[in-house]
Amino acid sequence: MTKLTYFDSNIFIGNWPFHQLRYNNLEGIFHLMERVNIEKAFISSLDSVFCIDRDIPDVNHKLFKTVKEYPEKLLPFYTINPNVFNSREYVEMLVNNCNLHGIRLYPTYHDYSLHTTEVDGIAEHASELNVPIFITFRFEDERVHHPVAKVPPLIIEELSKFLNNHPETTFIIGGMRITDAEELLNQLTHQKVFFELSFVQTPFRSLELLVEKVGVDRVLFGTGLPYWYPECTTLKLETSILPYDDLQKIAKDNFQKIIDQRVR
Amino acid sequence: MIIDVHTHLLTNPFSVKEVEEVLDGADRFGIKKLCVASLGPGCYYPTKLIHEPTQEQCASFNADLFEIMKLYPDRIWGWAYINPAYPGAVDEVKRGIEEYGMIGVKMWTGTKCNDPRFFPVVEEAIKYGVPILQHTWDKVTGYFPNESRSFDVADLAEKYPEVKIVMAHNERAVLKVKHCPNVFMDTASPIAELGMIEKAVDHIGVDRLVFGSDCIGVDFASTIGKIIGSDLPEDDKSKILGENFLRILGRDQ
Repeated sequence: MTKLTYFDSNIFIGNWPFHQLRYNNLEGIFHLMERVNIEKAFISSLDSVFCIDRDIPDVNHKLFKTVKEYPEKLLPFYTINPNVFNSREYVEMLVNNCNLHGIRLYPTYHDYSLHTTEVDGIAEHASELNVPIFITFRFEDERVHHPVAKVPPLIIEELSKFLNNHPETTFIIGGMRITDAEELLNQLTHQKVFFELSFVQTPFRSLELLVEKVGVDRVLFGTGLPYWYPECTTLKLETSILPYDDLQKIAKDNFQKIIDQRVR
Repeated sequence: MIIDVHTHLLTNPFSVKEVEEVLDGADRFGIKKLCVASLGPGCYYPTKLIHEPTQEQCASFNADLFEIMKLYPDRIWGWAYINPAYPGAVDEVKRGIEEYGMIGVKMWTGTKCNDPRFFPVVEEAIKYGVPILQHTWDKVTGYFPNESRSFDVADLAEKYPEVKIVMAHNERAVLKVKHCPNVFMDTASPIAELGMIEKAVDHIGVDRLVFGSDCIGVDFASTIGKIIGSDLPEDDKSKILGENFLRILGRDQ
């Protein structure tokens, strides 16, 4: 097996309303990261997914307080619902005071369209700040949603149109299957879109197929820990037939390129 | 020895190149045996799935799989795929076990598993002492026609306590079959919620879990990663990864 160390573009801290999670506090996350050689990570608040709008600033602040002692290891992505409050002013505050490394959007979980002036505004603001926006295409496999919380995936046409309207903004898309990524790519003129790996579970040699479809420079390592077993992703790289240089790009280098562009 | 109890290969026609790629992929995880059920030319998304194959189709898929088994006798074990909706299903089980040397019966969505049309097949499996790999999914998105759920498996298991059933894809439904000691659970789903393997062990014991990947539809990493990444002792992982299934088959290797 190929030995690798990782920068993870998609880890969480907090609670999920429908499962009793393990390792979902700081100590647990560090344990998992060490177990699979993850050196640093973009971290988001799991509480924010099912949080009502009013409480989003609270969970963001809780995330900041939890990770602030580890500014080089845990790089926070704060959840925004651009349609609810003055996003621009709030994001400025997060940049200046809370080590914001990226913005996290859950359009389907927070029930808003990507096609509003407010969402366009946050994309433009992210571009000015050179910080990425992580968009969750889906969180869980629809087959196993909680029966009272069936949230559909984003509509690919809506997503592609939004992305294409913001060619200067860096986006990370999580929760896509390879067929989704392929369909999106067919509609995409945008070059700064990355595909996060943790939901790519199918089919055989899924990593190699994703790289074939979207190109190695667009694939970002991500585990979704502690929601998912991180080994399900690390083993894809460690048993891969891809060249070592490509694996390095996926494991670390593509992530590093994103943080290098950030204006501090 | 790591045994993957739940895999598929494209057949009708099959490709030696594809089989060898899958075997190479298995080698990278140390998987020594692949237990293959041939569902024909469309066995994973986005190819067209044949949910209700005819008897002739099942026979053809199994015959094609037998050709693969002959090429790789040390690596490929076969499941005899049947559709109980057709009266030839019992004969197909006989042919699979006696002529092809297959290890058991695979049933997908031909009928529900507690449909009386399946009972003669189950009785044949009991006669041969072979297990049944039974597709299930407890979902909130609706079901294919005749798709079995965990409580259908429990129903069958209670009616036939002698038969060993490997319930596929459905680790979340562990409590529904907890009371059925003849039901084993495979890990063949891309759902990889951290802790799900440990919880399954807590509920039904480590001896009733077996490793399956659903390859080629699912990546080996996505399923074996759940076991390797679990907090179970190494001895327990070894049981899930192969020893339990050898015991189910009554084989040493």
